[in-house]
Amino acid sequence: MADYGIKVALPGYGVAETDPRNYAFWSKYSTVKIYAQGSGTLTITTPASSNSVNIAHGLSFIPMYLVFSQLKDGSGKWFINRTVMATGDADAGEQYVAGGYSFPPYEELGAYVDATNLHLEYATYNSAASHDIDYYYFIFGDKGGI
Amino acid sequence: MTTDYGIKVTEAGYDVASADIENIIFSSSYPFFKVYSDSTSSLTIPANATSATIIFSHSLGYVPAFTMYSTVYTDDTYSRQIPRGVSPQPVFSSAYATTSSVVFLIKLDGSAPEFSITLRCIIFKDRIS
Repeated sequence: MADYGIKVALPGYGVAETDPRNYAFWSKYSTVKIYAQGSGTLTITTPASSNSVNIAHGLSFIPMYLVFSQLKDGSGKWFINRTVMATGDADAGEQYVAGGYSFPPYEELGAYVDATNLHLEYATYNSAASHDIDYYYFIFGDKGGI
Repeated sequence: MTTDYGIKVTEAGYDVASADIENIIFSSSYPFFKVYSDSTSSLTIPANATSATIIFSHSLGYVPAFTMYSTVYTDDTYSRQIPRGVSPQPVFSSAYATTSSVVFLIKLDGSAPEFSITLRCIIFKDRIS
């Protein structure tokens, strides 16, 4: 018996449909499973310019992950993954003025995952003031390592 | 009633009673993202611009998880995941979600010619706040 399994088609499509994207679920294709999710707050305390946190995942392999960060406390703006740019948006981070230069609002998330932890490290140009960064993470039960 | 109940589908060759999570195709013990919307939007950015914004509205009432991809201004046949860095073009970008929208931000160094950019934004029903 070659053709067996579970199929749930999207509205307007039948289970004879061959395009996987038209299914809500098809047991022929693995789903990306949310193994763990959670949130936290990391404080960069002056005069430091960075701070980090390790989130133990307990899996036996290097998993996929996704991180959102509220770079400015209370802004309500949650940036996806690594934020590398100066957006000109004050809520993208803290403005930093030094040496006659005005650096745009900027925070940077450096994230990686290994077989033990999801590691989040936030860096800022503005080490003259302490500030909080909120994060929300998803760790998936699927391999993200090479 | 046993506490071990639900639906589980494993890959061929793996027992549902003992398969590790990476060999599970589906398990009702683990949620997965539910797609709330999947939309595209295009914008023509004038020559020598320094910034631009594209907004995708939603009515979820909370901050949702999302992902986003964009075309590249010199070649619209492939996509980059947002946020994207400066290489190979003088274009920075980032994206964030609020309780009412997902916002794409792009910043340029002012030397780019006029170009169009198309974004695909997939918003999930899964909340992050």
